[in-house]
Amino acid sequence: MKKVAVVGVGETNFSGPQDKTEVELFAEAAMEAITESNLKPEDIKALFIGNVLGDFSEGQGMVQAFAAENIGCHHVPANKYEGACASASMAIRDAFIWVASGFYDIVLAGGVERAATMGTGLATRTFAMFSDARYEYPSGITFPAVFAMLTHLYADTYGIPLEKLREQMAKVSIQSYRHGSVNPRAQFFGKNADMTVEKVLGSFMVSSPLTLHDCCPFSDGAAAVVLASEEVAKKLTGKPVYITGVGQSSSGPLCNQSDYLPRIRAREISSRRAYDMAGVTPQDIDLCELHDCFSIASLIAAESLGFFEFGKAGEAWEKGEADIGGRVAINPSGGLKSKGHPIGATGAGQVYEVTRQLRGEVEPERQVEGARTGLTDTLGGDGGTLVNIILQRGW
Amino acid sequence: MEVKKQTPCLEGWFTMPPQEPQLIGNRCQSCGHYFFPRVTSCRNPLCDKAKPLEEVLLSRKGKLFAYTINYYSPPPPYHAPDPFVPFGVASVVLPEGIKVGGQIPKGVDLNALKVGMEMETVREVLYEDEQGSEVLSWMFRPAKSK
Ligand SMILES: [Zn+2]
Repeated sequence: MKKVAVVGVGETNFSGPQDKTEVELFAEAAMEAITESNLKPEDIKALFIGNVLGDFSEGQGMVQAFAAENIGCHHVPANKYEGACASASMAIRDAFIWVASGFYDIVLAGGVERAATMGTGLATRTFAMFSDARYEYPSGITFPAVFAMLTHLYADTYGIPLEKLREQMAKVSIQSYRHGSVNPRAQFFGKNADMTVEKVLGSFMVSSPLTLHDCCPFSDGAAAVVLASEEVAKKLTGKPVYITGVGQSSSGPLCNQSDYLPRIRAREISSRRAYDMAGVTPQDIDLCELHDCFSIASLIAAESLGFFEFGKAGEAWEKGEADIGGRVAINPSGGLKSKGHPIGATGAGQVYEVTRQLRGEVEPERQVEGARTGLTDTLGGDGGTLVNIILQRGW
Repeated sequence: MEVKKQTPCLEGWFTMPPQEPQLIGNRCQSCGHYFFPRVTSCRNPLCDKAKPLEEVLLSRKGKLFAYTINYYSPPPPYHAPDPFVPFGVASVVLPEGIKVGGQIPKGVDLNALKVGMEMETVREVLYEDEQGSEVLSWMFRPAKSK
């Protein structure tokens, strides 16, 4: 198997509703990634793109073929990946496997979504499609309700009073808002840096005990990365970031995962695969972009990824152990909560962030100094698809 | 009084009147595992699957495993009343060792819910369809008696 490097990354601003089509948005991110790689569109051998709801949001199916042609990658194989919020991570993992196998030497992977443009009504309707269609969502058990129930279950399982847990969760949102407020690509750039526990707890109740500030927004955005084999990468850049481990796992409907909840079994399997492949442990991870679709999801993810003991992640956030300068810097981009969550692009946005962190290129206020190893984590649906990617500095 | 036609929201998932409200699951005759919704093949990885699955009626009572109160109106196919009224959803663990999700019917004091309390399966009107039939679903409410 060949070594595979990220040689260029690109990203649009993650935002609320905007006017560009998905093809145009993806082109913006893709051209930034290709240009940064010192390549031309003709050098790309294949295009793998995550996109979940394009057919609903703008009536555009098969976005991958139009996106390829639009950026000048004429007649290349172009594949679309759909794994709900994990779609772009799946695309990047597959791109990695194709380059590692030697079949292609340069692949462009990424994702695009216009979830904010859809409006809250259609977005919640279509997002709910990724829970069990016969049973969970006709009962009103949509994602906020699922994570709200997990919050009660988490409090009960680990013996944490609910009010104490809510304060810990508020601190997760506050940290994410602070990082996102200084990330120019973030949906909440320049906003919410002064968030307080009182404001989080006092905002609109969505599904008890989750308030609006416990939930990530709907977002538009695109992100793209160019992957190349080691030989090619060495010619293109002095700062190759190697993908050293990948993991993917799946599960059935949430009701069938219930014996393991609040832990997400698929995440533990997926991250274990990535750690084993890279030959690293959770202690080696300097920063992690994880799937904080809801504040409680951050705690659950950080524990399953091996950073903190089960039931202790909330304390870790309170003590700053999950912050820049702490034990592991979690979501220095602002995460889904503050950077935004254009679902089909989110995983590529995470790889964008980790790559730039490892290169030491982000804003000084949110740079993880000396970072050598980073991890991404995306969760599709209610635990249906999990993908983890480990990236390491190659110089 | 006009008697409205009643139909289940999911055919064959729970008993209909005049039977007592009970969920219909299945049980593996090899390893004894129960399933709801019903499965076509036993999911127990340690099971030899030598014997077929049998259809069973599940216990009416169980314990509250997790719950929430939805203060926002979920999108269709959830049928929200107008004006919207916040409602509870629950996950209940049955003595058969499986957990089932369902709504909590109107009129239940949602502030009195506690993880671990005894819940019972009931059958309630989910909404009225275009033909004027009452569409019924299973729901869970705190058990009335021990
Ligand atoms: Zn069996």
